[in-house]
Amino acid sequence: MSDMSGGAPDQPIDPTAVDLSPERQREIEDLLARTRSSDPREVLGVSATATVDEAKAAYFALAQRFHPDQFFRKRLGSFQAKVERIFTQLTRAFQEVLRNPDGPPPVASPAPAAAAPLPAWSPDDLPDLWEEAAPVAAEPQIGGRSRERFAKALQQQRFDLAVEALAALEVEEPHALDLPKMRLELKRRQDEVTAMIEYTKGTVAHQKREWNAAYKHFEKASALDPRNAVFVERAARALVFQGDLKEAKRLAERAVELKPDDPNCRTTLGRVFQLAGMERNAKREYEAALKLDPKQDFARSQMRKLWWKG
Amino acid sequence: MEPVLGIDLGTTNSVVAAVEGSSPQVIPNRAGYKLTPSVVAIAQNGRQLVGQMARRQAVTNPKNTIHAAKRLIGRKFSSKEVQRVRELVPYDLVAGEHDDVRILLGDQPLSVPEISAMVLGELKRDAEAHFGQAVSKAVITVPAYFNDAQRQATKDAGRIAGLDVLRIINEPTSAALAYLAGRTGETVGKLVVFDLGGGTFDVSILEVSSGVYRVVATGGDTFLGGEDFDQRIVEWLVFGFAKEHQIDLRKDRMAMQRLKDAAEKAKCDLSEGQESQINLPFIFSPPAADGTEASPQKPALHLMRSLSRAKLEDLTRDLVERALMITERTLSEAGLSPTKISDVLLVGGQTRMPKVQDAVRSLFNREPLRGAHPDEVVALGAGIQAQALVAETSQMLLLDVTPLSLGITVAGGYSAILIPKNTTVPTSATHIFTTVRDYQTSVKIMVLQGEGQRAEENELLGEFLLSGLRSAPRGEVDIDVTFSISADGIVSVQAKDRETGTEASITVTASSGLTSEELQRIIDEQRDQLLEQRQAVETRTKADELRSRMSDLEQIFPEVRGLIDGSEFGPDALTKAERTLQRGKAAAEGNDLAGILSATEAVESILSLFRGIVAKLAGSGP
Repeated sequence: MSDMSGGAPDQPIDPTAVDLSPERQREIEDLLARTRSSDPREVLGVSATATVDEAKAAYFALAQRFHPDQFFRKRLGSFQAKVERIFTQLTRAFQEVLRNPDGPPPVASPAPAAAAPLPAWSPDDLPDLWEEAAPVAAEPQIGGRSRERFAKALQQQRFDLAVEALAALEVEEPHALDLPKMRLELKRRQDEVTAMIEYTKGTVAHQKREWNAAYKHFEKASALDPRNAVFVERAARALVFQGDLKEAKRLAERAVELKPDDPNCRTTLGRVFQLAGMERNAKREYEAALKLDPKQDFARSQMRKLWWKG
Repeated sequence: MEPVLGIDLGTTNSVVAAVEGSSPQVIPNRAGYKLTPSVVAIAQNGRQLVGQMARRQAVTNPKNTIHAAKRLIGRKFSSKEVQRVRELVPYDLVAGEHDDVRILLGDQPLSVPEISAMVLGELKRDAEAHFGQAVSKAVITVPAYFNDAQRQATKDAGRIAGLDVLRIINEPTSAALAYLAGRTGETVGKLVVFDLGGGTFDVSILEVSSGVYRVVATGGDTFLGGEDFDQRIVEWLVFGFAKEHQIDLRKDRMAMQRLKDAAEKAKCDLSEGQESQINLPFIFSPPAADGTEASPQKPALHLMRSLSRAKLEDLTRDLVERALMITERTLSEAGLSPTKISDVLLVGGQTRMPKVQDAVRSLFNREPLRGAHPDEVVALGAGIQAQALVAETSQMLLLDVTPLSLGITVAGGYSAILIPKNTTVPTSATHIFTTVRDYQTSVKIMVLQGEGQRAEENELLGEFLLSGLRSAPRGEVDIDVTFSISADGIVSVQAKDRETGTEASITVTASSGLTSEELQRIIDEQRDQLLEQRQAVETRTKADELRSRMSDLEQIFPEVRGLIDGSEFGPDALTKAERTLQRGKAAAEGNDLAGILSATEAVESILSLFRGIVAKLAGSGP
């Protein structure tokens, strides 16, 4: 097959002979440089807080000046590829803004433009199990390798790579049944890591006795990984220091509910009861904590206090 | 400056337009009509007819009258669409060398682009007659849902017709362009174009702002249009007739052509009235009584039925529903609900049907817009786009999308999509693939177009081999596959081994069933044919000239004979003149232009000699 597009008139390609003024050439070069940015709003030349409408206006205005049609059948030489690239990048940036109108997604993912929204799963998508195995093609086949890349990236906690591999896998095997599972797995793992980061930040704030900041970090960690009792317990503890006993009680109870055999959770709940004046309940929790871990010094000392008081 | 044309090459009718002054105008054909039927025929006398002339003689010459060629363009002969058309049309289809479709016209198997080129050529000549100058540049429209092969074949048709096809654009987009032209600066919200034409249905959602027309999503069915509505009426008539008389009219091409015409007319009537009479006298004539008929002689039969609007709506209910379903699907693909649409534009002759309008009205819960001439807007838009392309600077810009996804076949026989449908063009996308077998050193890249999950459910645009890969266990070689669609809609695919840098690529173009060599040959033949035609005309004129000179000579001959018969050079000159006349007669009968010219020269020299003699001798005589 040969090119018979008739698009450009046949002429010897001379990269130096170009029907573009030097100013126009510079404009194109400048814009091309800008479109290399990974920030779609920067590519479009709008502010980081620009709305979708503003981005659209910018996209339209740039397209009107730099779309390949504006150079229809002009001799462009090396600029041919440049203007096509500019337009492709502008479109990609605009699509990106449409997809994420509120700014970049939590994990910067250079998702390829090819990543189509996945069709809703339906029973019809199930492969027919009785279908004969595809005959071994005589032709040398080509295949994807994104599945391995995804697993490896997850293992190394390289979520940027995992996102990329998953997007690629959606192209290679759009009908793979485990795609939703993999997407969930990725999100879970991502959240876990982010939660750990929040937890660390919370601990640092706690040590600095910045109770409110600490509470916020623990709360965030807990939102990302709601099954982790430690995050809830730490959030409750920060609230105790802040003096919000009502919310602290709710969280501490939740922590105990999540992990009844965690002595720290018991101790914290006990402390909440104690401060709230519910001493009988406090004693019960401290006892439980000590039973689980005799080295709970704080529980022991408070028990003693209560005992003396009582 | 040479005018540039916008051509709506329709299934039933074609229209040509151009921007004259500042506004687009439909160019009437030489008969004065704005619509030229997309019909081509070879008349009994061997003459090629196009347009109204071809259509008019369809009933008496069904086998050699080609209509609705657009339903075949760019399709494979073995496809189910072509096989369906084959059952319906009175002309014959045969398979070409590459599973392409050939149409028998006057026993000559012609490719579909060649047939379409005849229509385009006619439109070109109409435009030339209108402008009084040669025109060669055109934008041609196609249904938005046409695949690459259909677009390429349409482009080929243009080239065969001697047109420089500036661009192939989508019909609904073109209609929107024409409808909204002159309203620049105004921001229109989201516009839906509902285009139900003669053969195809398209729906496009556009967003228009200050001269930029951005297509958000497009959908359609290349086998849903007015012709299908006609066919339903024909089937109803045939069935009714069979029930009443036990006669299957489908075997009679001429009867079928008459039924088709009557069905179309009834359908059009029912857009206005509630009831239409279908009257076809002598629809069945008994075979000539040659005594060999075993069955008893049947009398001639007439077909007389009345079709109500309600019945027509009943017959075509599923067709309207299909169009609506596609519209809803396209909306949901664009992530829009009908309430988010600010306007709906109806395009195409079939949208004249009240039922279609009702259905659209109730889906969008608003009154749809209709231009004054739903048949003309597409061509007008193409004219605007043609002008915008050749203009030095233009405020108007079309951002259209690929209607179908593009991908490659991957192991397991699945299609891996690289460029999803509704992606704005031009565009490109790269994806990494790998080998599936240990020590595999080559991969075959099969380029697919379509939404099918399995590779074989899609159109195969082309294939190529990338060899020379590093010999390695499977999965270890990275192969970059890059797809690009240029501004011109040309798809090219490149595969590259990341490590060794080996690459292979194709530009997917010659998929219309005609290879580039064949296309060139047809274009050359067309040129030769034109030359031949021109030469034939010239030869005939020259032969006529020769004959008239000879008759002059023959007239003067007796007089000269009388004058010089006795003179010494008389016999010699007379024999020479007689011989020249004989030679002239032979030459005038033949086709040899050079022979005719030299004979004319000889006759003329003798004629002037004789005239001299007459002037001299007769003047000085008694």
